[in-house]
Amino acid sequence: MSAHCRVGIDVGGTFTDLVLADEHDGRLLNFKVPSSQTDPSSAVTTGLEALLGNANLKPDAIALLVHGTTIALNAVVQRRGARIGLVISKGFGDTMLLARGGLPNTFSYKHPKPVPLIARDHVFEIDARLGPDGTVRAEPSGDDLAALAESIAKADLDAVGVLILNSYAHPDLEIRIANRLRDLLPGLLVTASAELWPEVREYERALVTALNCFVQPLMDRYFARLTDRLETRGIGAPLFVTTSNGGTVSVASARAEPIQTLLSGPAAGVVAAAHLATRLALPKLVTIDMGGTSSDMAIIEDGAPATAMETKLGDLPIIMPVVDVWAIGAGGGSVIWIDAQGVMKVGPESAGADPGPICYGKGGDRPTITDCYVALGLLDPVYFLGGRMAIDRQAAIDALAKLGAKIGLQGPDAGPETARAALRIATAKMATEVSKGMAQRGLDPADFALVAYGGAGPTHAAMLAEEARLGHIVIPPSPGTFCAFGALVADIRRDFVRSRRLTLGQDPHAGVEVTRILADLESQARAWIAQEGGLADSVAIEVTADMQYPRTAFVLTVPIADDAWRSGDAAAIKEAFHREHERLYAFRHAESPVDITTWRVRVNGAVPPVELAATQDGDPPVQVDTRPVYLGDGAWVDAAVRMRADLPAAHSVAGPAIIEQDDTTIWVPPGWTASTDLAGCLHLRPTGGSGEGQAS
Amino acid sequence: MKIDPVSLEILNTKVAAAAEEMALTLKRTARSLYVKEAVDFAVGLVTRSGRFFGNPRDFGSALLDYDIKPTLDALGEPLGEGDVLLTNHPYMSAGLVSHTPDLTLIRPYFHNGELVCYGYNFIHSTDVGGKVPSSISPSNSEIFQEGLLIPPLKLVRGGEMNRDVLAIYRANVRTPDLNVQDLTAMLAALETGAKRIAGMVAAHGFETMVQAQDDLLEYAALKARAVLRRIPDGTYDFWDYMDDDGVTPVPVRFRVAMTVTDGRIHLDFDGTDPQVASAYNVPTLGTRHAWLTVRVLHYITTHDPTVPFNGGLFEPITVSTRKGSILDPEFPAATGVRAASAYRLNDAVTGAFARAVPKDVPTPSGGAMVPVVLAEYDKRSGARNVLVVNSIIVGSGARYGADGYDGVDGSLSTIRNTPAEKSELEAGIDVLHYGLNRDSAGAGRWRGGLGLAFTFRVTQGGSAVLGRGLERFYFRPWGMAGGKPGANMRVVRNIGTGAEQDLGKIDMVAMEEGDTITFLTPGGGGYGDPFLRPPEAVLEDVRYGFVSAEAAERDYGVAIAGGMVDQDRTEWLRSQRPVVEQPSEATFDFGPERDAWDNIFTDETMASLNAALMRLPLAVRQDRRQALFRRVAPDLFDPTSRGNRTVAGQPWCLRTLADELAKLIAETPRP
Repeated sequence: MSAHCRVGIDVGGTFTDLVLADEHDGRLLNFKVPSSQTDPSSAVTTGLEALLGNANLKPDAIALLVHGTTIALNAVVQRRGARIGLVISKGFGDTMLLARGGLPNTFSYKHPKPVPLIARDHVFEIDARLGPDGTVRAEPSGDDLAALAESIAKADLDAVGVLILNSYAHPDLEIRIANRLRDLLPGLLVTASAELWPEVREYERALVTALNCFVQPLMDRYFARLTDRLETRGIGAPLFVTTSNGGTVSVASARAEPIQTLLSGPAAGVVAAAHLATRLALPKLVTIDMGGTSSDMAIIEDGAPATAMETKLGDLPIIMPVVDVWAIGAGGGSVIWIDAQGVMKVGPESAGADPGPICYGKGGDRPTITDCYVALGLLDPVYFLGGRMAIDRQAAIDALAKLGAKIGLQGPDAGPETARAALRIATAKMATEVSKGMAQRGLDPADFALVAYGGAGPTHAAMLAEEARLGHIVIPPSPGTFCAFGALVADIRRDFVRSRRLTLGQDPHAGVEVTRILADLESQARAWIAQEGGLADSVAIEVTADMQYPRTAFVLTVPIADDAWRSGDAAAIKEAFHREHERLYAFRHAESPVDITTWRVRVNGAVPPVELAATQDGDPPVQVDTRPVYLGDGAWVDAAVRMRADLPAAHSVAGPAIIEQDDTTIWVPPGWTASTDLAGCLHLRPTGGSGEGQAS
Repeated sequence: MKIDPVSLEILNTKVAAAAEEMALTLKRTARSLYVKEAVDFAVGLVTRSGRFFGNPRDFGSALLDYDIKPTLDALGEPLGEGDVLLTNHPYMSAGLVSHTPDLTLIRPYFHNGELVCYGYNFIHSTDVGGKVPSSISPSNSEIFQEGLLIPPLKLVRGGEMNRDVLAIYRANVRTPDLNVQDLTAMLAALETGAKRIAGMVAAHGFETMVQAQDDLLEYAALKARAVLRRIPDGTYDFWDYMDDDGVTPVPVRFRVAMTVTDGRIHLDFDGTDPQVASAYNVPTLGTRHAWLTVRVLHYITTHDPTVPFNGGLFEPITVSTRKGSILDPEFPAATGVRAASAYRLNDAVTGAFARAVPKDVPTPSGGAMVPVVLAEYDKRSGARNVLVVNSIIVGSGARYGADGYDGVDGSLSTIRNTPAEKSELEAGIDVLHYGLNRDSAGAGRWRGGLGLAFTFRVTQGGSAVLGRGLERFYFRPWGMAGGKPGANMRVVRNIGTGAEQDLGKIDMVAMEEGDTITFLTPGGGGYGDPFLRPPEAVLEDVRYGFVSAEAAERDYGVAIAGGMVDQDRTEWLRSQRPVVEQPSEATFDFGPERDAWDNIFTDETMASLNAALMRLPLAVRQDRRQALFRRVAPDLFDPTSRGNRTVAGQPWCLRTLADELAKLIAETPRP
């Protein structure tokens, strides 16, 4: 078989990143091309052709393309999606406006009203209604549906969602209505809420339905164009798309349910880190992705990314399982300023990429975190981004000195001194966010190693680790294209859900029902993965359920053992909940029945592992260069400068040192040592620290 | 500020994060429903002198204007290393605790035997015993009915848990397991705080850590003062009413005089009505109290979002309240439902701000938060089943330059609504309508946010519906600068049928199988002359079903025909009265009901009435007050007119009032 390469692609706002893994020789190639604003798919094919050229490969060498994109996310954030409507049960037309109550910002009288996804006059109430037990309380006639279709046609919409109250438990009526609309209005994209995500809670279900509608036309066009472009270039490999839950789905699945891809961008980086966790036998990792405007954090335990059953995108709650990623503040573009009381502040404003930091010389006039790196000597003005961008170091120093003067920082080193002060503040902010993220989950930072990626992550990692009490940093081989690598190694995965209340310890046939409900979900899951193309090595089914003591709000998502549900062992499932409750809250209501409210099945098809070549042993490089770095209080130190590509396996560099590579710069402060491993990762530890977690 | 501006910002960050971590620890492990669903808890770090210097911004209750010193003093012995103070006593804690369910802990943090600061937290517990489950009810008249009272005492002494206290506590509450888990969570949160404080002392040194506390307070105070200087010097009076006091139909008036001098604010609540025989009293104990100053907090954070969250931002504020008033009740007045009063007293403070800086503050929201409770027999177990089917709120106030938020009100309440799909699973109801209440918002150039409409059918006979906290049946959310007031609250049984019945304010109403009940809540007040609202915006409101075509004509002077603005008719309608482009903005529209009331019970009359009542002994004051209103406004007491009162306007009211007042003054001792 000639196809022996997998390619991961990450389409970002500024760059489109590509990573190629060649199974023949275990090599990994990275490539970056500027993204295209007008047609993002053109950057993908441009990049692919260049990458194939560099690797000296033919298009048919590609066995699999896995693609991640933030197009859907950007459309939602900027509210630039399709013209959509919603069909909903009579009496509930305001559901999207009411949401779940609460203001976006209780501390401001001036906060603007949220921009709705659907104009209120594009919400169509219909006399269709179910009881929670499936009783049909109202059903529309054929004429009603014809009239509805006419109203929708008149509103000239691209897509509509359908939500009938209580359809999560009994989807038939809703699906019938959706199908009728599909028949009557060919060309209109219709999403039935219960087909997409049959979970109880009408606002949340309406919202995922609406979001799917909102991004579907756009994503459909994008994938169609991309598929065409690939075909004309002779690339016939199956195309997969990364998803918010850290998996991938076929392009056909992604076109049917584009909402699955919504939060895939940050998830892919975490998946890549989880891959490292396994490879390096480091089960507990905290990931930091530090880019131009902000930094994101995630947790990996037992080698798997922590999953959230619900997340928020701005004000919008999204009830699909996602890799739990959250923003922790400053990025390279965060602006440094002094407030009216003479206190130094960092962010939340960002200079972004345009005009960007002062040192870019593109008209930025407010100092940023990147200007601080430059002023301190951490970034090389000549070798920035592999020499692709010229840097005006003096401008950064001057601006920082001017700012520092306002808070009494004077003298010949005022610029660097101000930079150091700002970085201390930015670092304190990030470190406290890491600490809070840990506290929220009851975790101890001492057990975790830090994986740093993104353009600025490796530069800032050691500063952050010192402050956040993390004693081990891992820098992956290509931190700038880590998300594309994540796409490459992600499993084929989809989550299935069903809300149906069952009371264990009360309903007499609970055991039989457990088996019936889960077997049904399992068969849906297996049917789905069977039609994704036989790429997966092995298929696994994971079952969890949302459980609670009746009439309490304390829902726990508890794993259910395979034999327990297949044999309908209600007592064992109930005990699993009691045990988890006891673990978290130190007591159980042993006599109480237990409600299961929502059932969750995840199907995971493991893709074959990427076999990467080990880093070669070799001679330590001769010293390339040194660069003065400012350490504060007037002290400059000569840091050794090394090229990362020159470092052989199992080699150590003592700080102060700077390790340069194309897509980032790694700062190794005094008191830290960087060492290479066979997997191509760089490990930073306090000098004299323990060697635990050493790569093999 | 003595420490350098870089270290200060770093410690500012760390202190806020430490407080947030404490909140996260508590939130993760607490079991009280109030923590989970209503974010009704707080944590904080407190200086050695008793002021809050660090509070989380995004987690828990943001009320932080308290002094813990009186609580420490009431302990009667020093709080040493390894000790944790426990109390839920509003009076002995000088208002640090505002009602008995708020179990409160304080732990001192030491470094080498020297006090660094304190950690603090409270949780609204599920139940602390007393007359009713969950411990609070408007009908409680004494705090002894509101559950076990715990004076400041040591729950933990030298690291040892006081088992006797726990035993008494467990024996006096309905949910001992949950409550003890809450205490465990609170202790865990205090331990998190201890670790973070120790970390800060290790990194920055003891001296800096102690100095930073004062500096952070001063930093917040400077920022607050800078914002408050926006307000022109002067004195600004305002008052607003609750429909009744919970046990009699007599309204309760909250009056404030706000005096501003170069960014310093004095809030004088003199003239506010006497304490009530229900649970609406706010126990401030004469202190500058969080429930009195929360509007000022919101004003400051609106104009400077970077202000550190600590007690320093209240430094420019002073407060006075009269002892024996509803805002400074005497022991043992019940305080369980003080939040109902807080709504209205804060509307009064908002009004004072509106007089001073009309473009800076919104009009009031619909002014109520109502957990709608169904009592039925459980289909599954046959047991009596009492549950909240939804929490009904109101619309927000309009602002200069923007409409209010529809169907949400964040002014005091953080509670989430309940999905109909969830309540139908739990209770025997069919939800027929959950949406925005058409025509409920105060009209204006910028309209108020719409209130809610919630209708459900009860499917089991013998059920009952409870709605506590219903307000604004009579006194409406006012409009300003030409804007109109929001609609009144309504509760209707079997709406749209021949048997439709306005129920007025309900406490508990019996429901037969198939009956429906509808809650129609007020929207916020409007801002600016509605004739200045662009006709396209009115058209959109009509198209969206927010405003009826009739209201568009009547209130906005906009005629809609065939889904379009009828330009000619609109022009004609709008020419029928003068439009003031720039009104003297500090003008208010209170609605006809309040205008009529104020005509009888004028500010001067109420001042003399309250002054006279205050001279009477507490024991007779409430009865005497009620007796007077019974004579002057007998309609109030007519049970058939509740919620639909037409009290004033008759000349004899005024005459009777003058007579009664003279009699009262004659019989009270001269001041």
